[in-house]
Amino acid sequence: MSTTDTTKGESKETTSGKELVSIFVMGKKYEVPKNLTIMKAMEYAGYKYIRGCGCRGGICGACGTVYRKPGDYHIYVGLACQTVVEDGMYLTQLPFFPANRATYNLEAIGSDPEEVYKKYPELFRCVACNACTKVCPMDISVMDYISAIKQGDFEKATELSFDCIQCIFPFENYGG
Amino acid sequence: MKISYYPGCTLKTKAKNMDCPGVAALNALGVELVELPRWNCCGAVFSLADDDLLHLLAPVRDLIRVVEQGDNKLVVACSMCYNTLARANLLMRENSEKRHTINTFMEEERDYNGEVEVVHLLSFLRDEIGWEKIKESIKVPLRGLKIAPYYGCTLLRPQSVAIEPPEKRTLFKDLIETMGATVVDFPASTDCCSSYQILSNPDIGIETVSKILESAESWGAEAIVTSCPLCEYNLGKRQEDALRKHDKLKELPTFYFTQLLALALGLGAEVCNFELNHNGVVRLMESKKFLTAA
Amino acid sequence: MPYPQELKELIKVVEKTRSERVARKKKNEEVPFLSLEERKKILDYHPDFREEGRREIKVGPSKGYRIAHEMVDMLEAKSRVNPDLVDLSQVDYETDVLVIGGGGAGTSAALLAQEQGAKVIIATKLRHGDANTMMAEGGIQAATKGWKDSPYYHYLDVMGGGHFKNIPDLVDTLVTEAPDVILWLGKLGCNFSKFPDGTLKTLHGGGTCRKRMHYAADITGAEIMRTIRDEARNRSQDIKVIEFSPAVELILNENGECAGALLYNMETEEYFIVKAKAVIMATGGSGRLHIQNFMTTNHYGATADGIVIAYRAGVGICFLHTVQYHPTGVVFPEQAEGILITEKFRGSGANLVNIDGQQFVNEREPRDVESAAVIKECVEKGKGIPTPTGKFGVWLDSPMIDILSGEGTVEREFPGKFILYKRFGIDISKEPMLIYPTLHYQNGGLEYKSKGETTLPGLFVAGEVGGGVHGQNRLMGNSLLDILVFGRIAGKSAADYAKSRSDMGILTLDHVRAYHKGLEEADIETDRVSPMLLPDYTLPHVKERQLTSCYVGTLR
Repeated sequence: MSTTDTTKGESKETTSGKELVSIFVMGKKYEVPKNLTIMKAMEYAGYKYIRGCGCRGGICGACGTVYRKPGDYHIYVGLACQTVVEDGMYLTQLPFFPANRATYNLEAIGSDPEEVYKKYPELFRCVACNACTKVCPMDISVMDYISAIKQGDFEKATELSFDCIQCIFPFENYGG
Repeated sequence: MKISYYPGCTLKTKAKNMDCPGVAALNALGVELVELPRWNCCGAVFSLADDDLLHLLAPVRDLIRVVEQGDNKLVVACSMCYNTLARANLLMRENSEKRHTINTFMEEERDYNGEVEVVHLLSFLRDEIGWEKIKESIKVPLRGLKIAPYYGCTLLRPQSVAIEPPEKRTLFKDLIETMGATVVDFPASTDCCSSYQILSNPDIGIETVSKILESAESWGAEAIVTSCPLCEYNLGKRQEDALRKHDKLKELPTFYFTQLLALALGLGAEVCNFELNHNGVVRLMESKKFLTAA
Repeated sequence: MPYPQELKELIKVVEKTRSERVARKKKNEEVPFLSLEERKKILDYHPDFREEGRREIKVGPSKGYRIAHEMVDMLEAKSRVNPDLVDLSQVDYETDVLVIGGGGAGTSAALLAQEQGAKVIIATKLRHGDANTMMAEGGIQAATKGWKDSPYYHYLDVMGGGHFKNIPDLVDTLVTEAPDVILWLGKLGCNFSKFPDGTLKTLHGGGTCRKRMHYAADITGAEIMRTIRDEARNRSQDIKVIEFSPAVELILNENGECAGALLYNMETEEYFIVKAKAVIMATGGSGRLHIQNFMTTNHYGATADGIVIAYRAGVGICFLHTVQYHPTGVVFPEQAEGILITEKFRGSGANLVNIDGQQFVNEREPRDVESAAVIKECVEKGKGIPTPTGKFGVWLDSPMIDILSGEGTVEREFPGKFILYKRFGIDISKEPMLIYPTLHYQNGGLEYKSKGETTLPGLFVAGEVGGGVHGQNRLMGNSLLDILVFGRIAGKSAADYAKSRSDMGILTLDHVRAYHKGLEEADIETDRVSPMLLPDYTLPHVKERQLTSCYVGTLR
C-alpha cells in the first residue's frame, strides 16, 4: 500500500509503491499513479489550477477535458474531476469555450419554437449528426432535447437537458 | 391496431391542425397512431446532391427509431416528411455503398438496411382500414361540398416513392367520395405550389398560387384539400396576397384532409384546430352545417 | 476505481450481518437513540469540541475569540500587497455597487441592486457561478403552504436547529422573506419539482416540523444558480462580471467608510482598484481550509477570503467556533473524495457499519452526533475500515435499501449517486459505500444585521460569509434560502446606500497598515499572507523541486 500525505485534507499520493501510467498533458509526458482522476493526476504532476477547476464534484462544468487514447480515432470529452486517467492518454483541458448566447426577457417571450429560432437560428440547421450528444460530458441527449425544442415540446426539452452544467461560457459583452 | 407514427416538426407546431384531427380520426377508426418516442427533424428536403450524405442522417435516424420500437412500418401524414423519409429509406435499401458509409458514421446507432416500410397516411387509410369501413363510420357526411384535391409535388414525385401513379391518381378522390363530398378534379392538382420560392421570390410564388386557385375555382371548387403544410401555407395563408393581386379570384378555403375526415367522422370542430386555418374555413363549414350535426 | 480485493474481503463481513440487520429493521428493533446525556458525551469526539484544534486570535476586532487554527492562521497573516506600493489615485473601475463573490448570494444581490438603478460590478475569483451554491443538492426551505405551515413554524425550526443561539432578528428576516424568494425564482424560470397541477413539491428535511423543502430534482442549487446567473447575463448592460479576479483587500476612505476593493487578476498577477459607493461581501465559506485535516464537500474556491479582508477592515466575527461536518462524505473511491452522500440514504434504511459488520450507532441521529460517533468508531475504537489512500471510513450499507424497499429502489431514488459510483465500477445497490464525516458548512462568519449592514459603513454582507442566522448549526435547506434572502436584501440596501452617498472621500489602505502593526504588537512573526485564494494541493515530491528562491504571486 502506498504512503499518503493527508496534511491538507485531500488525499495526496506519493510515488512509492504505486502503479504508474503515462499521460500526455498537452503533449508532455508525465508518470502518474493509475486510478487518479485527470484533475488529481495533473496536480500530482505539479500543475496548480487557476482555470479548469471548480467544484471537484462533477456539477460545475469548469473542468471539461478533451482526450484521445492510443490507437483510437475517437475524440473523447469528460470532466477532469470525474474521469480516471488511462495509460497513453493524450489530454488537454478546455477551461473556456466561447458560446453564443442570446439576451432575452422571459416574461416577454412565448414558449414557441419561433422565438427560439429568432434567438438561435443555428439550431434549425441541425442535420442530426449527433456530435453535440457525443461531446457532452454529462451524457445528455443534446440532439434529442434540441429536437424537442424545434417540436415545441419545451417540457420535454427541460427534462432532457436538466443535468446540463453549462460547461461552455458566453462571450457576449458581459465580462469586465 | 397500433402503428408507429411520425408527425414531423411542423405538425407539432404551426400545423397542429393537421396532426390533432388526424390522430383523433384514426382513433375513431380503431387505430392508435403511436408517436415515436424519440424523433428528430426528417431533414425537410431530400438533398439531390449525390455526395451529400450528411443530410441523410436525420431521416435515417428516424427510421432506426422505428426499428428500436420493434416495428417495421411507419405512418407519416405530412407529405414532405413522407417524401424525405421514403427516399432516404429507399437509398438505404438499394445503395449498399452509401448505406455502409452512413451506418459507419452513425456508429452509436444500430445498422440500418431499409427494413422499415414508410407509408403515407392516405395510403394507410385505403390499404389498412379500407374505404368501406371508413364509410360505415361516417357520421356527418360532407354532402354537397365541392372539394378540389391538391396533391402538389411530394406525394407523387419522384415515381419511386409516389403514393400512386400521377396519371391514375384516385386516393384523394376515393377519400372525398367516402366522406360523402363531391370531387372537383382540376388540371393544376399536381402543379407545384411554388414551395420555398414564396419566401425568396414572392412575386413568382404568388403568381403560381394564383394560377392554382384560379384553376380550382374555374372548375367549381368550394374548397381545397391538401396533405402538406407548405402547400397549405402557400395556398392558404398567402392566398390573401393572391386575392389582392387578382380581382377575379375569390376566397377559397383550404383544409387538411385530416380535418375533413375528423369532421365527417363526427368528431366536431374541437379536434380540428380551425383557428390555425385561413380564409373562411369555419364560415364555409357552418354554412354547410357540418359543425352542428354531430 | 472498483473496490480492491482487500476491501472486497471486508465487504463480505458486512454481507454476513446484513440479513440479520435487515430483519431487525423490519421488526423496528433499532439500535436505540442515544440519551441526551450520552449525546453530550459522544460530542466530545466532534471536531468542534477538540480544544487542541483551536486557539485564540490575538489581533483584530474579535481578539480573544477561540476558533480553529486554520482560520486563525488566515487572520493572523499579512496582506498580499504592500499598501505603500498601491497607488490609490489610479482608479481602474468605478461603480455604484461592487459585489465580491459570484455565487448565489452575490448574484442575487447584483440583480436586486440593478433593479434599484445601480450600476453593478461582480468581482469573482473563478468563473461566475463557481460556488458552493452550484453544489447544493437537497433543497430550499420556505413556508409557502399557508394552509399547514407558516414562517412561525419555520422560525422555531431554525432556532431549534441552531441550539437557540441564533440571532433572532436575522432568523425573523430569513423565514418571513422565504416565500417571496420562491416566487421570485419561479418568475425567473427556475424549474422546481412540481405536481402535474403546478403545485410545488415539498419534502421534510432533518429538524423540520413541516414539509417545506422545495427542490429541483437532486440539483436544486445548480438550477437556482443557472437561473439567476442567466438573468444577470440578461442585464449585462448594468451588471459587469470580472472573473478570475478576487478581492484581496477592501479600500476605505479617511472617514473609515468602505469605498471599494483591490482586485487581483490571478492570471496576469496585476492588481486593480475598484472605487464603489457600496460593497457587498458574498464570498461564501471556507471548506478548503481543511479544518483539522478534514476533507470537504466545498468548492475549490471556498477559502474564507471575505472573512479575512473584512476582518482586517474592522468587521467582527461570530459563531466561527462551530463548523458543520456532514456525517457521510465519500472517502473511497478517492476520485469522489469529500462528496456528500445525502441523509436520504440513512432515512431510507441504510445502516452505518464498522469493520466487524456491526452497527455502532442509530443512523438517524442528528448530524453532529452521527459525525462524532463515526469519528469515535474510527479514531478511538480502531474499528474503521482502512482505505487504499491511508484514510479510514465506515460502511454505509446502501444494499439494505433494495432489500427493504424492493430491487431497483437505490437506482431510482438516488440516480446521481448511482451513476457516480457506477463510473468507478461500484454498484451501490449491491456493495456498501465507504464514508467519513466531511467539512460541509461554515456556520459562523462576519457579524451583520438584518438589512445586511455591518459595523463598517458601506459594507454589506450576504450568505455563508456572514454568521448568526444559523446559530451553532444550520438545518438542511436553509443555506440556499440564506444566500437568496440576504443576497436580495444586501443588494437593495447597498443600492440605497450608494444612492444616498455623494462624497467618496480619499481612498486609503491605512487599515491594512494598522493591521500589520497589530500583528507586530501581538508578537506574531509570520510570512503567511492571506487571503489564501486557492488551496495548495502541490505534492511534496513536486515541492522539493520547486526551488525558485522568491515566490511572488500565485504561481511564480
